[in-house]
Amino acid sequence: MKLGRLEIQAWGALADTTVDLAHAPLVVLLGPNESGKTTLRDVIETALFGFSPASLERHPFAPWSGADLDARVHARLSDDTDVVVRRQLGRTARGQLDVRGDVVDLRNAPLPWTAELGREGWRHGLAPSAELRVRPADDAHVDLEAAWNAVASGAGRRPSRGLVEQLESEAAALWRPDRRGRPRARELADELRDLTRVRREASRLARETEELASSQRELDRRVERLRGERADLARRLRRSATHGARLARARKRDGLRRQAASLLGDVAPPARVDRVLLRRQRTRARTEAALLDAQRALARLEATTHVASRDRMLARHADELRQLAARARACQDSAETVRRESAHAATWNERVQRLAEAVLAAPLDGPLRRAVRDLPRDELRDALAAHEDAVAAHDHARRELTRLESAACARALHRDDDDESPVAVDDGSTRQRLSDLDGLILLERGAARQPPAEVALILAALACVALAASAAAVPGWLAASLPAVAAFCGLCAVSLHLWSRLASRRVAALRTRLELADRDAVEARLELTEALADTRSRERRVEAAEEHASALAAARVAVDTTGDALQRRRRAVEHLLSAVPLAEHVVRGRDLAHDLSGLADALARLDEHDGRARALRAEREELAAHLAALDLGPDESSDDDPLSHAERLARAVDGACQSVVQADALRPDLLAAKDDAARTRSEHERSVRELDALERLLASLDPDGDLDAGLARARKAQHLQRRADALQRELDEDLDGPDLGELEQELARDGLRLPGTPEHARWQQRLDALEAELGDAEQRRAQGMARLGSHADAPDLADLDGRMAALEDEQREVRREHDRLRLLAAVIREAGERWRATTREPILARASHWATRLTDGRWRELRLQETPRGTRLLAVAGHEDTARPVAAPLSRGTRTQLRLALRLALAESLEGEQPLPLVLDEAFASWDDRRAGLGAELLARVGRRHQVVVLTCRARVAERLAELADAHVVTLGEPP
Amino acid sequence: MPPVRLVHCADVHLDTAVASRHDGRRRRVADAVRATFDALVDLCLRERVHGLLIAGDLLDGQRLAPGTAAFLAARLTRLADAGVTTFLAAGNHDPGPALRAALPPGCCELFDRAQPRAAILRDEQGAPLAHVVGCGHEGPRDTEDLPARIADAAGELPADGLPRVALVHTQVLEARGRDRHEAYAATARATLADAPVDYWALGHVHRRQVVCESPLACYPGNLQGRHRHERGPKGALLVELEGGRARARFQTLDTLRFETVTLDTLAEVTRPHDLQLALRAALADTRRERVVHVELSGACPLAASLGARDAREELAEQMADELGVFALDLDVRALRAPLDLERARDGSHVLAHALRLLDELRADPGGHEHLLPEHLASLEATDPDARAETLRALLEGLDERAALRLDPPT
Repeated sequence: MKLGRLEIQAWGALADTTVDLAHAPLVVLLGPNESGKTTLRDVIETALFGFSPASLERHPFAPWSGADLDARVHARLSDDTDVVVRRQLGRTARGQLDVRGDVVDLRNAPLPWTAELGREGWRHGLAPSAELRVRPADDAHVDLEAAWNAVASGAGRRPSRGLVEQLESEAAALWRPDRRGRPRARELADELRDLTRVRREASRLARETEELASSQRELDRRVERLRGERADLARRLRRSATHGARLARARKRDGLRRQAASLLGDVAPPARVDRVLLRRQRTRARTEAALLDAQRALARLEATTHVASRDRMLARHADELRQLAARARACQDSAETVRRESAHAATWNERVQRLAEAVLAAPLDGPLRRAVRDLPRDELRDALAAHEDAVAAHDHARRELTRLESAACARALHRDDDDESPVAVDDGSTRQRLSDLDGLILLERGAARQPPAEVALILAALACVALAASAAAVPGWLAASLPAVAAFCGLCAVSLHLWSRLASRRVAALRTRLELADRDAVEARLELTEALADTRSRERRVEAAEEHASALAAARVAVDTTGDALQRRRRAVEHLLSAVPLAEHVVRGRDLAHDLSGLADALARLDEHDGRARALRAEREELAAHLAALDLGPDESSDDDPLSHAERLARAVDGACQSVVQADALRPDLLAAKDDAARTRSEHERSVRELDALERLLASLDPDGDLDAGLARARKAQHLQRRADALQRELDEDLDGPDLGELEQELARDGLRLPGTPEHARWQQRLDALEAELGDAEQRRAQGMARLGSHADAPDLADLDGRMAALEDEQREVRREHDRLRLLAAVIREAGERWRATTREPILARASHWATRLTDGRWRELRLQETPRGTRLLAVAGHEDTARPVAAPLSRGTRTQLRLALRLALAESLEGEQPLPLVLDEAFASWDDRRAGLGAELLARVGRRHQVVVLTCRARVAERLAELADAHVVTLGEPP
Repeated sequence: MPPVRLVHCADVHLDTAVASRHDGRRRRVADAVRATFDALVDLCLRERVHGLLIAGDLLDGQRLAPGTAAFLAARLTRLADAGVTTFLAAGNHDPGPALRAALPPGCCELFDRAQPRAAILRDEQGAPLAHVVGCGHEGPRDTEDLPARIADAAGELPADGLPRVALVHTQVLEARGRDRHEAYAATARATLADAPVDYWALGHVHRRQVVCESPLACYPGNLQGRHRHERGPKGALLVELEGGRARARFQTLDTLRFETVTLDTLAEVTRPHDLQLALRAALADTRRERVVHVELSGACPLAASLGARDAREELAEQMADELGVFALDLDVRALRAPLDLERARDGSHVLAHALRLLDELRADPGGHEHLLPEHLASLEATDPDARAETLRALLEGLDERAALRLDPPT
């Protein structure tokens, strides 16, 4: 095959360029650097073998213009057939072969006549590039095998030696018999060992898990068994207990039945239902009676609690007031007595004074008259005035006492009407009045200390004077009457003195009584203070009682929840209402008692008045007799003579008598009132007795007197109610209860054991033991579950096995691959040896021939020497036998010539169906002219079969080749 | 009398070890086995069958993971609650002791002894429906003819007119695919044919097939494929026994399918995309989740690039994603570069010498011991025949590799 025109549309820097090689045997492409010589070489290679690489992006000669690679190459085959090859590379590689108009789609395939050689063979043998030519580094070494393989048929190949080393290296990376390095097989072995360790641990965990699971299952079964046994035992125990209770009731029933039968004697026992109904009715009646009692007790408790507390308080108040009133009345009586006695004494004093003044005013001379005139009148008047003041103060005290008494009564009434303590309300005024009362008592006491003893002494003195006067010079009638006067005076004096003594004693007695009243008042005050404190404490207790009452009400509400609550409540209200008249009776009785006391006092006072009136009447008569006996005649100097005084006294007596008459007229009424009072007293006493009875009942119900106990009673009543209901239910159930015989048969049939029997106790013990055993088993099971849970994250054995199996597979594959690589290396090594043994010598002989021609006999033989670094090319000079390495210091030109000789020999030995062109790039760079001429002749000779294309930038080389070998020189232009 | 309805499955291999270095694939296959067992339970409940027959190898190993034990107990309990009686025969993978330890008691009728035992299948009302005669492996390598024992035991059953079902894990010597399994408890087809049994529920051979027509004896195949050798639809047989005749209908249950696709026209496939197009055309159904094993054979320009394991796996992963399959394996052992080795063999270059040398080695491995490398990892056997066999296996495909190595494509 000889190339003709190269039409380049776009290739590297070349565009729209045509280079005509003219099918010449020897073509010289002359051009400066970058003129496109190497680009043309690539166009030729691509035309022969297709694009490599077949990618525009990666192609080294991608057009600078960015267009697709595109070139058309004209060639002439050895049979003078012209063909056109077009190669294009855009998104895909396209190729067309036009053989006399027949277009064959090549795509990227090589030309059909290149299959013998192949791209690599052409590259290495026929168109070695500069890079290939300088290999190996030590240019004494040449890989003839590589060159051979490069130009060998169809599968020219890599140098087997290098390939063997590469295969060995790859095999060593997979597996090594020794422990050097870390081949893949060792990595896999390590990983497998780690996994084996993990699997061993996982297997141990799995065994442990399995054992745990087994023991868990065993525990589960045991727990289930224990639970079953426990449930069975508990059921049997429960049934035994129930059965025992039923049996006990049945036995009791049976006993009652037998008792009834024995009581009834020969009488045919009623039907069982009738007996039961009868007993049920009795029980119900008892229950209802007990309930009713409880309700009544509760109601009584409530009523008596309230009424008794109120009555006790009122009774105490009444007693206190009665005591106060009694004391006040005593004081009043004392004061009245003193007043009356004082009035009486004053009357007598006035009467004596009038008498004395009449004596003094009488026209008497003598020592008597003087003696009378010399009497200390002023002192006497002062004494009388003081006495009157005392009397007035006494009256005031009496009125005050009366008012106090009425106020006390009013308070008592007020207290009756209202529970609020009057003491608390009017405490201050009462204290003030008590103080006033104390002052009045003191005044009265001062007045009582003024007895009329001085008057008696004066009268005694007057009597003495009269006696003396009678003994002196007095007229006859007067003298005769003087003894009588004297006697009268003396008598008066003696009587006055006696009266005075009597009055003194009475005063002393009055003082004593006053002192007693004083003490009583103090005591009353103390008691009143205590009563005040007591009232307050009672108020607190009342509050507590109210709280208890509220609690009682709550309890009653609870009681109300039962069926008969409303009825019981109504009954309780009725009881309370029935207790109200009783309380009213008590109050009325107290009022009547008070009225009775007042009436009794009034009657006493009336009797006293009556007695006093009779005494006064007797005294009046006595005084009238005295006046009649004296017959003194009126005293002119006096406005109030004894007669008129006596008359006034008589009128007073008459008035008193009238009062007595009126009192007598009132007496029937008073007696009726007294009877009424006595009746009322009896009612009161009956009420008191009833109250006492209630209090005793209260005490019996509430011995502590505390409402809490009452509440407890109420609760007890509720409990009784519930118990009664339970009894009722039990009674109802009992109606349908099984017979004793049936129960005993059931007991025997079911193997039950009654509570209290040793077997039952053993069952109970067994149940306890089962509970303990079950708790222990469940605890162990929970621990086992926790341990099982901790094993949940254990590696999955199947997964580990899968990983290990995959690793083992890969390990086997690695070992097999290693062996195959080693085998391949050994085969290729042996094949190389065989090739060398069969092919080397003929090629070397032909190469020696060409070397002799090229060096003009200077070097006559080429030899090869195998070294560890490769094949060494040796040359033998023409005049000696010494073989020298084709390397420096051998000249560069000689080395190029010797290698060209070897290459040409290879080319000749491997030429195929269509000898492909040789492309020599700067082949004659270091050649001298003679050897260049020899080389040109040689190339011209070779070119007869193989078109030779010489690429050079040196014009002289082109000229020489044109001159010596008629080379077709194509001059390329300047770099585009 | 209404037909007796049964579901027959075998070789579930729960907790199977999936040999793969990909965690996801191992997990997926393990999950698929469980999911398919769930589908089996659903089938039993949906079809209202009377019983489930599991003919051995329910478990893959003698030890069951705790989670799997709970899973299995729950499913068997679910079946029992629905009135479906499970009959389980012990296989060589799960011999009797292992099954007894792994299964909760009372969840199924377990045939775990080599001595046959008869059980009665009853309906929900307790009426007897069929006799089930079964026996199991007591060890992992039982070799006794268990079907023969069952035949004897079946002959002793009362003649009550109830159908007789035999349940056993055995290898029928005439079964297809038997070479992939050990011949445990092996028997002959004649033994099955002569037995007084209406239906033989067999297990052990993973390929679904009818071993005997009369009486009907079936291998349902394994329930769920686990690797490329268990390819195609997998599931269980729905069996009906009526009037002394048995009918079996296959029910697909697998949740992950293994398939093998062979591509042998690859001369024009120069790019991975072309290979993917060819594979898409070969995969008729891409709806089901599957693991596809692609066997590439013949000459292909991609042979050299697919020879590298990492590049091959990367390409397979990429193709799996684009084709929508769970996983894809590229088997290139039969793939070769588009080389004319015969022509090369006739040359005078190194490759020719190498190819001829390989031929010599294959022809007489023992005669070229001197050529063998000193240390070969897998050539450990000292027996000449074994060494020769191993060597031939190693030499397989080396011609191609030598050519590719000596003339790598550009």
